[in-house]
Amino acid sequence: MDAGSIIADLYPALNATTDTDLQWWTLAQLYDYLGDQLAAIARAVPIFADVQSGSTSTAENTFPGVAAIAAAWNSVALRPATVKELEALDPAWDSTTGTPARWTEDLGPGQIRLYPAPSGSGALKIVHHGSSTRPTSGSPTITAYPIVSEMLWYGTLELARAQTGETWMPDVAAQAAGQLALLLKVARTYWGSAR
Amino acid sequence: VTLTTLTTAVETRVNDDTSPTYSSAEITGALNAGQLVFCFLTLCYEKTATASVAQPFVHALALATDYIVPLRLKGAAKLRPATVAEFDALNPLWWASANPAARYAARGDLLFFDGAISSLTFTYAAAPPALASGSDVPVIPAEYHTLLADYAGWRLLLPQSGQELEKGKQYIGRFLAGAQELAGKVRARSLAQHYDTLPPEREAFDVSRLMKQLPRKERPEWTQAA
Repeated sequence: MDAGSIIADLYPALNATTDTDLQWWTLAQLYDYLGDQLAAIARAVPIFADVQSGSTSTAENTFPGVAAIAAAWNSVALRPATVKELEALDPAWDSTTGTPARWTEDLGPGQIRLYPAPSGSGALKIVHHGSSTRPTSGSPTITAYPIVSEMLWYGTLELARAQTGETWMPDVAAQAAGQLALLLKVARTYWGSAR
Repeated sequence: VTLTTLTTAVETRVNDDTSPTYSSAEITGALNAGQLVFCFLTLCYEKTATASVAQPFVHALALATDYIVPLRLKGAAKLRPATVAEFDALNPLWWASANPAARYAARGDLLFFDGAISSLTFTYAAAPPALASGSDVPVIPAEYHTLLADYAGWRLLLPQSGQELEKGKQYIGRFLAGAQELAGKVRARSLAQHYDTLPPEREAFDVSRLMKQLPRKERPEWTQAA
């Protein structure tokens, strides 16, 4: 889908016909609003789920997303664990080396640690909820479900009309937010939560 | 009901002496958005496609750009829905298993298979094709076509704020009530078909947040009575 088309579809709702006669906003501002809402939607539902595959020999590995779902070392599934469980299992868990059997995400978002730390190089796969690069007027393409375009239409309208000042229309912003919330609620029943 | 007829129905809903007029492109855009939302809420439009799968996972959106959710997947036989965690528990070696796949797991648009699968036949709930020419007819059941004019009316009136927005609320209420009704029918049919994903239960169609008026203090001054 094209973020430029979603924004163009919003011009009449913002009393404009093109970006040049937008009176109270700039085009960059609308892309910002759209990017903010796209990130918020991706945090709520797994619209950008992906698999990261690569070779590694380190215990700590990063992935471009907010939460890991599963991991595999040399095509063998690793069991998820918490740091508390690893400490109970092995007091020296953070220095033990061997063939990885578990992974923990407790270090922080976008990061997993393998246990034991690999003693050599291997193939690591991480299934994760990803995120999208922010669309811009120069790079407007978003690869996502078609319904996301309607979510973004409401989300961008909400932020544009929630801005205080001459453009402020709290009733419009509230209704747009309500419509977005309804679509997200249904999306969660279909695709699960991204948390 | 054709796009031309629906466009007239939208004009009837949104145009009066005090309203701005809307271009046919705006109305068509709003009708297409309505059909997209209706199909999303009811899963009433389904398609079947075949694909070859080389890895234990595939992005469904790469196979079909109009994909919403899986309804029934078939390899050599029907695949049962599961989760990646269940795959891990059943067979830690599933990532490279040569056994024929018996289950699949969906996460976002990713579909995982617990074994080898060469040819995949998948039935999925799809987004509708856009209405473009005047003789185009929506893909949703005919008795719900006029609901698209209701949605388009709401979507055009919403940004006008004030009384136009209030006028639009009856349309979105009617649209969602109709979607809820059809979702119930599709649910019953999907259960009979043994589909893997069902339309949402009625709680998902809670419109109380859309219908409530803003508290007086949050409304712009000009909307408040003197």
